[in-house]
Amino acid sequence: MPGKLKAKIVAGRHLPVMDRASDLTDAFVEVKFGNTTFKTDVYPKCLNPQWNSEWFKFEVDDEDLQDEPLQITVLDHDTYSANDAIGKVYIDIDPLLCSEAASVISGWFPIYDTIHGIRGEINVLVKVDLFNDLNRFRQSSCGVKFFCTTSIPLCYRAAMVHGFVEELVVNEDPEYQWIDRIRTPRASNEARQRLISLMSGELQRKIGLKVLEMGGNAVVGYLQCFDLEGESGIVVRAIGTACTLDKLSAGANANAYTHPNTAPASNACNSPSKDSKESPLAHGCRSTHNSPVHSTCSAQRLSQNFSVSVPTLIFAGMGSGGSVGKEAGPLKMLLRQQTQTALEQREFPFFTLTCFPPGFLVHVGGVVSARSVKLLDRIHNPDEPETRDAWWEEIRQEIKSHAKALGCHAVVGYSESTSICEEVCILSAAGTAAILNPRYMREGCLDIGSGDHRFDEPSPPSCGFCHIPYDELNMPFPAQLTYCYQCRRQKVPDVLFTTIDLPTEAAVSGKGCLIQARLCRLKKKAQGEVNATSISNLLPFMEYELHTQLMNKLKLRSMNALFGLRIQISIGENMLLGLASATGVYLSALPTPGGIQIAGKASGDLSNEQHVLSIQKRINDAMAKNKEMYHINPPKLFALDPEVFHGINMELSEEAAGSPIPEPKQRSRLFRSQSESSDELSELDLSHGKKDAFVLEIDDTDAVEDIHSLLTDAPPPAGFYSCNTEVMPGVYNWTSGLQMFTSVRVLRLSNANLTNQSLNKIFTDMCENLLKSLYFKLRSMIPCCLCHVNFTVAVPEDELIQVAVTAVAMSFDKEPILEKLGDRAVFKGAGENEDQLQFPMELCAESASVAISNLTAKFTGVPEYAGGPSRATSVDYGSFADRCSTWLELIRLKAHTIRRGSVKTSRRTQSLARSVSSSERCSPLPEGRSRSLRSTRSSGGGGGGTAVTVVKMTPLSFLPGTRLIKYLGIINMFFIRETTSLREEGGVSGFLHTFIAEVFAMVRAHVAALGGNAVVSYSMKECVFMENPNKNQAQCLINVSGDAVVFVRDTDQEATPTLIHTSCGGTDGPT
Amino acid sequence: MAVELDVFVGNTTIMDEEVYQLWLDGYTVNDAVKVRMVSEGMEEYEASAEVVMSDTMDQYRTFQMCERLLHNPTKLANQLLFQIPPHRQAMLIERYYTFDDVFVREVLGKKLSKGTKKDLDDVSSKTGITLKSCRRQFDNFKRVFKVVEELKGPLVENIRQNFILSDKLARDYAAIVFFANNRFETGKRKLQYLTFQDFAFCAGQLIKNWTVGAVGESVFLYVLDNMVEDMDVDLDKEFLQDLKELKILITDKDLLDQHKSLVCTALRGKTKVYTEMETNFKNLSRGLVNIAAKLTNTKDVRDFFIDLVEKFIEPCRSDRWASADMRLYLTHYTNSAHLLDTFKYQVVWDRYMGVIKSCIFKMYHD
Repeated sequence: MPGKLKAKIVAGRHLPVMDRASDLTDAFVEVKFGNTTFKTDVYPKCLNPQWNSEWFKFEVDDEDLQDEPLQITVLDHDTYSANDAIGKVYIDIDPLLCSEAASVISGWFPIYDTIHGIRGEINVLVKVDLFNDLNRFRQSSCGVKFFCTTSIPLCYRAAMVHGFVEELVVNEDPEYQWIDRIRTPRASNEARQRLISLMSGELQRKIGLKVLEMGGNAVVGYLQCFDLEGESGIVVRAIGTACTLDKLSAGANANAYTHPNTAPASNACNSPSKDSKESPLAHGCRSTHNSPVHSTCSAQRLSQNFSVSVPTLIFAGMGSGGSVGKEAGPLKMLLRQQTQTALEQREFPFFTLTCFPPGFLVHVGGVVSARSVKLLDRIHNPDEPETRDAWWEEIRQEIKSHAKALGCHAVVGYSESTSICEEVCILSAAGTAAILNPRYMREGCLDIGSGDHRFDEPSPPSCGFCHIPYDELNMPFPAQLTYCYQCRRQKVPDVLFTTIDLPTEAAVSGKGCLIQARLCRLKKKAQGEVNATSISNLLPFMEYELHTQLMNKLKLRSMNALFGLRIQISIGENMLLGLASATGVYLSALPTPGGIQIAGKASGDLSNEQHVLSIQKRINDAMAKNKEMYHINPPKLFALDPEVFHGINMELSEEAAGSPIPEPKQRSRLFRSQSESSDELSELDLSHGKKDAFVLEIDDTDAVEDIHSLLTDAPPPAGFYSCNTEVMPGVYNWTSGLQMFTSVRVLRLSNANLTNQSLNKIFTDMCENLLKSLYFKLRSMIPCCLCHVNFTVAVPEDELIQVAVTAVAMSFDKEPILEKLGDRAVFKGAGENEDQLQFPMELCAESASVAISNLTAKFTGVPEYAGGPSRATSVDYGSFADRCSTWLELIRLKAHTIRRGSVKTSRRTQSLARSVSSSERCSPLPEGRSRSLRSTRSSGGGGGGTAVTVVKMTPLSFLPGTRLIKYLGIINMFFIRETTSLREEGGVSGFLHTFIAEVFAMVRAHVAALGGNAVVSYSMKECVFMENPNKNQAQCLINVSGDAVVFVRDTDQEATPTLIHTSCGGTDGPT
Repeated sequence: MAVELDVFVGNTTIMDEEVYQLWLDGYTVNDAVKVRMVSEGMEEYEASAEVVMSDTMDQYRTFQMCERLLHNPTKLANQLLFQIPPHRQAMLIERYYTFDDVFVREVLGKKLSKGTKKDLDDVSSKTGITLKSCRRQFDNFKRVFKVVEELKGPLVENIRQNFILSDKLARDYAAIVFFANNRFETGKRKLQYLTFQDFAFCAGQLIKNWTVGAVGESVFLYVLDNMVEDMDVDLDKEFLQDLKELKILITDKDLLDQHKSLVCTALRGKTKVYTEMETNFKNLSRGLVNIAAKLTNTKDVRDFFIDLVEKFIEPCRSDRWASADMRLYLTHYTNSAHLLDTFKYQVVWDRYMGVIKSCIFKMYHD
C-alpha cells in the first residue's frame, strides 16, 4: 500500500553566518526521502530566511515510509565552490502512519550538525496521505503502535496481552568501512546516523509484522538497543510485549468499568488473532533471510565462535546458590494449569512490562538472570543475523528454564542488555519469574466482566503476589518460609527480589529507598579466548558479591523486598564493574527482617572484640535510624499472637530439616536464619539456638569491605527520597513540580597499581558523590523524591570509569491534607491502570467507610486482637494496612478540622487559587512570552516568532496532576557529536554539557512538532563518550527514546475537588 | 583520581540566582565556591566543597553557554537549546544588564570605544569591581548603544523592546546612551558628588524635553518623513538656536532690572536667605542664560553639568540656601519672566527652564 509523503519548508531562523564577508548566509534546503531529492530556492543574504516552499511530494511504498527518515539538509549557496552544509534534520515519520497518533508534523526543528551542534532552526510541515484507507494496515505493519512505557498506556485498555516479540538487524558500521579513511568525520558521522535511523525503522517494521501476525495492534515496553560491535558491525535489537489495546475515549472512561457488559463481546481487533496464534509464524518468523546457503555458513561460524555460558544465579529472596533445576511440584490450583497451557504455546513467555493491570500478576517467584560471554566475529552478511539470534535464543532458553525451576511459567519485567569491550561481549538477560492470570492471555477475556472474576481469586490480591509459586516441599533453593503476614494462609519467603515495579495493590509499611550495590574487580589484560574465559570466571563471583551487598543493605534498612532490580556488569580492558540498583521496601506480607550481627575472629583478642562491638553498635544505630527515616512500623499481628507464631516456627524448622534439597555451597561466613523483628525478640525463647540475625563475620578483607560499604552509604538529606521504580511507595501527594535530568561523570584512575578494595572504594565514592551532588542541586524542590533513578556504568577506556544517571525529581506536598484519600485512589489509578481511574469519585467518597468495615472484618478474624480495643490506634497491618492508616489519618484530620474548621476551608481556597495560577503557567502563551513575542516582531527578525512550547520530560509513565489524553508515537533518536576543537568548546565537560542540552532540545522540538507537550518513559539508552585530549578531539554517541504525549492538567477539566490538590502546590518546578 | 568530566543537564535549565550573581560579579569558580561555602543554609545539605564545586562549575558552564543568547535577549525567548520558564528568562536578562552605579559613574559620558575599554583595569582597581564584571557592564553599554544607534523611534522603548528590560533599567540605559552620545562631562572633581541616579534623572529630562522626539506628535510624523535618526539621542538643533534669543534677559538692562524686581517682590518675606538672593540675582541669572546661549557649541554641551554646578549650584550653596529656597527661587525666577512685556520667547523659556529647574532640584544636595 503506497502512500504520499508531503513536505513543505517554511522558514529558518538564527542561521549561522556562513559568509564572513557579508556576515550573512545564502541558505537553501534539500529535502530527501529515499532516493528522491527536492531543493528550495536560495534565499539570499539572510539569517532568517522565509522560503515558503511548495509542497514537495514523494510517492513511496509504505515499507520505505516505515524504514526511512525524512532528511532535510540546510546549505549555504556558494557560486564558486561547493555549497557548504549548515546542518541536517532527520524526521521520523512513523507517528504519521498511525491513525491515532499525530496527523501532521509542524514546527521548528533545530538544525543539527555533527561537528558544530545546533546551528539555527528550520520550520517544516510534513504530512502523509496513505492510500486505500479501508484496509489500511493489513499489508504492512503501519499502524502498529509502539510504546516505550512498560505498563498499559494510560489512555488504553489491554484487551489482550499476546506476549514476547523480538527482532534484531545487523549491518556493517560505516565508521569501520574502508571508505572512512578518505571521507570527512562529518560524512562518516552522518552515514552512521542515517544507517542507524534506517535500521531502527526496519526493526520497528519487522516487529510490527510479528505483532500483526500474533493478532495484536501494539507493542508495549518496547526496548530497542544498539550494540556497537566495532569491527564486527552494528546490531540493532529490540524486544517488547505485543498487546491488543483498546482506546479509551474520554467519555467511555467513566463507563468502561462500571458497565463492562455493555462492551462489545468480541473486539474487531481480536478476530485475526485466532488464526495466527496457532501459526508457527507467530514466533520468530524471519521471511527475509531464508537462503539455506547462508544459514549453514552461519551455523559453522557459530561453532567456531567462542562462547561461554556463565552459570547464572536465581535471586529469589535468600536463594543465592546455583539454580538447582527442580521442576515445580504438583500445581496447587487449577488456575495455574490453565495459565500454563496458555503460556506453553509461546516459545518465550516473557513480558517486558513492569506494571500490570490488577489481578494480572498472581505470584512472583524471584529474579532470574542469565549471562553469557561471547567473542565477537565479523558479521559477513548483514542479511543474516542468525549468530546473534542464536546467542540470544540460548540466553532466553536459560531464563525460561530458571523460571521453571522457580515453579513459574512466565517471566515479567524482562530486559536484555550487552556490554562490549573490544571483541568480548557479555550478553545479559534478567526478569522476574512469575505466575500470571491466564485471563489476559485468552481472547476476549476482559469482556467477561472482569470485576466478577476478581472475587473468585483464591487469595486477597494485596498479598497474593508475595506467596511462593513453587512447591514448599521442593524448593529450588533454601529459603525460610513463613505464613503470609497478611492472610496467614499461604507461605511467603522472608525476602523477595524482583525486577518489576511495586504492584499497586501491595501493602507497604513506610517508604521505600534506593539501594545500590557496587563492585569493581580487576582483571588482567588479555586477548581473545583467554580474556573471555577470565571474564566468565569472574562473573559468578561478582554476581554473588553484588547480591550479598544488596542483601546486607536491605537488612540495614529493615526492609524485606527489592523492586526494579537491575544489575549491570560492564567490562573494560583491565576491570569489571558491577552495579546493582533496586528500590527497597517493607512489604507487610513478608516477615520482619532480623538484624545484622557482627561476629569477630575466633581469637579472644580484646581490641578486636571492642572493634566488633563498635561496628555492631554502629550497625544497630544505623538500622534504628533507617527505620525511623523510612517510617517503617512493622505490623504487630504476630507479636500479639505468640502461639500462632510459635506454631509457624515449629513447622518451619521441620521443613528446613527435612528439605530434600541439598544446601548449595555457601560461604561459611554467611549464616542466614529465621528472622523476626527486635520487638518480638523479648517474647521469644532464644535458647532454641536459632540466631535471629544475619551474621557477618569479619575475618577477611572481603567482609571488612562489605561492612565498609554498608556503613558508608550516606542517607539522602532530609526532605529527599529516592527510588529507581516508577513511584515511591509511601509518597502520594505529588505536586506538578518536576525536573528530569541527566548527569554524567567520568573518573580517571591515576594510580597504576590499584587493588580491588581501593578500586571498590573509588567506585562507591563516585556513585555516592554523584548522588550527593544531585541532592544538592535539586534542594530547591524539597520535599522531593528522585524517581526512576537509572545509573549506567561503563569503562570507556583503560583508566576511565563513566557513570551516567537519568532520573526525575518530583516534589510533593508534605503535609497530609484531607483530600489525601481521594487523591491517593486517583493516583494509584493514574499510575497503573485506567480501570481504577474511572471511579475516583466513588472511591474517595466511600473508601473511608469501606476501610472501616474492612477493618472490623479483620478484627473478628483475629480474636485476641478484637479483645483489645485500647490498642486500636496502633493498628497498621494486614491487607488493609495502607487504607487503615489513611482512615486513621482521616480521623485525626477530622479532629483537626473541628478544632480549626475555618482554617481548613481557607487553605482549600488557597490551593484552588494556586492551582489556577499553575495552570496559567502552562498555557500555550505564558505571560512574559507575549512581551518577547511583541519585541521579536518589532525587531523584524525572528520569523514566525511563535513562543516555544514547554515540553516536559520524564522517565516515568505518567505526569503527576495530569491526564495523558493522547500518545503521539515513539521517539527514538540517535545522535553523534564530534569535535576537533575540544578546548575551545570548554573541554570535555563543556562538550558533553552542550551535547546533552542539544539532545534534549531536539527531543523537545520533535515532540512539539508532533503536537505534544511531554515525553513519558524517556530514557537515555546509550551514551558512548570517547576523547583524545592530546589531539583536542572528542566524540559522543547518544541514543534516547520515549513516548510523545499530550497531557492536560486535571484542573483544566471541571475541577473535581478531590483532584485539585494533585496539581496545586504549583511551584512551577525546578528553578 | 581526577574527575575527568562532570556534567548535569536538566530538562528545565537549573540556575541558582546566587551563583548567577557571583558569576556576574566576575568571581572565579574557586572564589565563588569559597563564598558559597560560608553562605547560609549550606550546612543543612551537608554540602562538601566537592559538591559545591561541582555544582558551581556546572552553573558557570550553563551561564557561559547562555551568555551568547543574553547578548541578544530576544533570541532567548525562542531559542530551543535551553528550556527556561519565562519569568526566569526575565530574571536572567535583567540581572545580566544590571550594572553597578559606582562603575557607570566612571564611564558615564565617555566614548564607548576600545580606548575606554583598555582603561577598565584602572576603573576596576578604583571601584573594587572585578575586571570581568567591568568588561561585561561596559560591553553591555556598548551593545545597547550600537543597537539603538541604528534604530528610529523613542529611545527608551527601543531599548526595552530589543533587550527585554524592565522600564527602570531601560531608562537607565537610555541615560547612558544619551550621555555617551553627547559626551557630557561627568568626571570632574566638582561633579563627583553627583550619583548616577542624579545624572540619569537629568538625562531623562533632557531626552523628554530637549530632543527632536520631544516636540509632540506632529513633529514626530515630520521626523519620520524626513528620516531623521537618533531623534531621542541628539538635542533639538533648532531649539538650541532659539536659546540664543534668551540672551536679551541679561543684555537688556531694563529687562534684567524688571525681572529682578518682580522676583524680589515675590520672594520677600518668604525666605531666610532673601538678601543673598537679591544680591546674587544678576550673577545667577547671567549664569543660567549664558549656559543657554552657548549650547549650540558641542563643547559647551559637554560642559553643561559642570556649568550648572559652577554658575549656579556652588554660589547658592556657599550662601547656604536650603533646597526649599532653591525651589522657591527658581519657580519665581521662571514664572516672573512671563510677566515681562517685552520678553517674547516664552515658549523657549519654558522649555529651557523646565529642564533646568528639575535638573538643579535633583543636583542640589543639601
